[in-house]
Amino acid sequence: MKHADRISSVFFFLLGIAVLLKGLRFGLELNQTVGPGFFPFAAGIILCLLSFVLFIQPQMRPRPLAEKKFRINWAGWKGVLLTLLALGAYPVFINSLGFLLSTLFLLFFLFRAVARLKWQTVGVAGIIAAGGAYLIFEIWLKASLPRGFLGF
Amino acid sequence: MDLLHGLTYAFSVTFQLNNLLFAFVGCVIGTLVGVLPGIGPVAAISLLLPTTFRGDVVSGLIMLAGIFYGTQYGGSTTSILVNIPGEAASVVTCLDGYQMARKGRAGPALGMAAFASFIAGTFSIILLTLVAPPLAKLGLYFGSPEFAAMAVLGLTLLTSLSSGSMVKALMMATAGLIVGAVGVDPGMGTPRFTFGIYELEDGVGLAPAAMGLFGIAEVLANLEESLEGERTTLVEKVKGLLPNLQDWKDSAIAIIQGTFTGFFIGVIPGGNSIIASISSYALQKRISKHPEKMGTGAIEGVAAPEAANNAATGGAFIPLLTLGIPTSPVMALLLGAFMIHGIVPGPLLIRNNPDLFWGLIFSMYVGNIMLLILNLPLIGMWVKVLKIPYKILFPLILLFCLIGAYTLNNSPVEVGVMVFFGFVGFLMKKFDYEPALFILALVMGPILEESLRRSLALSGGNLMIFLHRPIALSILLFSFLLLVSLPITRMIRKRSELTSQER
Repeated sequence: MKHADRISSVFFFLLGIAVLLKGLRFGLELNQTVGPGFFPFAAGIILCLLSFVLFIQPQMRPRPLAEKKFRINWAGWKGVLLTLLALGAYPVFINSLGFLLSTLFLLFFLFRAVARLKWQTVGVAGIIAAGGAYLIFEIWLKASLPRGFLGF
Repeated sequence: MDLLHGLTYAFSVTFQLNNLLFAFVGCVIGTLVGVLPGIGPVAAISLLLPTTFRGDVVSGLIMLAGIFYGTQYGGSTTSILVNIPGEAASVVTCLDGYQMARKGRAGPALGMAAFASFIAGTFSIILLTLVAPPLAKLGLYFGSPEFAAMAVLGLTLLTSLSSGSMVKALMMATAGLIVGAVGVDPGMGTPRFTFGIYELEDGVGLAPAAMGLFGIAEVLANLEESLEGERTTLVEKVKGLLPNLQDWKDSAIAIIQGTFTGFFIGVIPGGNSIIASISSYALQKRISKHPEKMGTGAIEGVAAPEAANNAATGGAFIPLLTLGIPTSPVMALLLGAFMIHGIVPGPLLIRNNPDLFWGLIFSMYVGNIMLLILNLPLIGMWVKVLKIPYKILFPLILLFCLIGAYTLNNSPVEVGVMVFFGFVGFLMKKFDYEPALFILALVMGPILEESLRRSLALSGGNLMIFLHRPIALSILLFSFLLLVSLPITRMIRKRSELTSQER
């Protein structure tokens, strides 16, 4: 986890710098109380300090202790990326395609491309799940889901 | 309204058909979520949060609370039958529960888990009923400086109780405070970190962030691992659910101990069901006459953690209902549900919304009875649910999260926020950061900032106001001492571990 901690500490340090600079721009004081920038400014400084401690911590430790290992399972990453892609596309298309159609496409994609189920299972599970969700949320709970160009 | 009047009133509110139905729905969903690994109470409550926006607030909150304590019941089933915790708080139940199942005693293990949960859950609600009203009176002395101090204490305690690196825990709390600052600043109306996105002017929604960090991230982590693994249950049909007299004798102390340990850990800001069950198990091992049997299928190893995680749920409501301070992500979500209906939980809740306060508490008594029925005679149904392959389950979890996020404001931006936090949560898992602190800080941030601003406005910009108020000063001093003592105690513990390893 040592290298992973270093990478994340650099990220958080840069984030802290960006936040504290923004905080300065927002203004730190306002009519004898804290201004809109005070909180981000203070949090930014603390984040930078903590990131610094995390970065130098491995050298300060007397000897390494048994700790969690950073591990990436590359075989599983394809599924993660495909799922993120599908989830990212869903809000883009939901208003134009409508809830039912976009949900059907999403489920077909996840069942087929990520879970690698047979086409028959994909069809049945997708239709039941999308239809069930439509009945529960749109008809029963009246959640006003988007209708899209087809009107449902 | 005194206690007796309160209880009579609560009785009438709870037994309204509508509220009973919502309590039942909450308990069923809670048990389902508890049984299924990969989705916890935070994701489930976030998902159903929007459904409570319309309709009656009392019914909505009764349902959400039902999900919370229902998950604690359901989690034990998976731990005992599959050796995977259905819910994080049931992780130690695996140790003895699964061993009991291997020895052909799955029935008594499941039975004792349900009975211990019921006894502890009910007892913790009795304690909640007795403790909450006087504590709410104390809360009337709380002003902005005290609330600011309590927010600091909550974050400090949660940091102290986090299992991993303390620096990382503090970093998560700070990152949560920064994300909590997103949106229009309440003092001047300056938009902060909104990147020109109109929907972010109200801040980052708690529900999409929680669904992303706890729901989507969990699915992504499971996808990275493998989809092929199948859950195999040890038994097809569970028989003999009632524990025998010896089982009860062995478990009596464990249930009492678990109830008190769980309740008090639940009350303290930062304490949660997971810590409660682990602490109770460790304590049981220490006080047991036969500690060597723990982990080999001892029934007290099931009773103690199950009692503790249910008692903790009752305790967790105390700071929220009496002081308006959420002590865990689940309580933060419930606070969100209160706020959306324009209700501010805190010292005035009992006076201003007695139907909500007493109705919610009394519904938990009824809910515990419902859960006992759901978990014992219907155990066969939950065993079947366990057999649903993850390949079918994960798209459904994702779909429910997507719908939950969209219906918050009927906006695709909320879905985008959820997906973003889903990926962030996945990275947090990889880099070993705890999302619970992040979520709590996200809620505490605006409370802390607002209280700090009001305190300084009261004192004309003088920070000494915190030193002149005895309650605020005591809370801040306690937080400071805790924070300072943390690295020292951890270092001592690690050094003693090292020395014992070397020997």
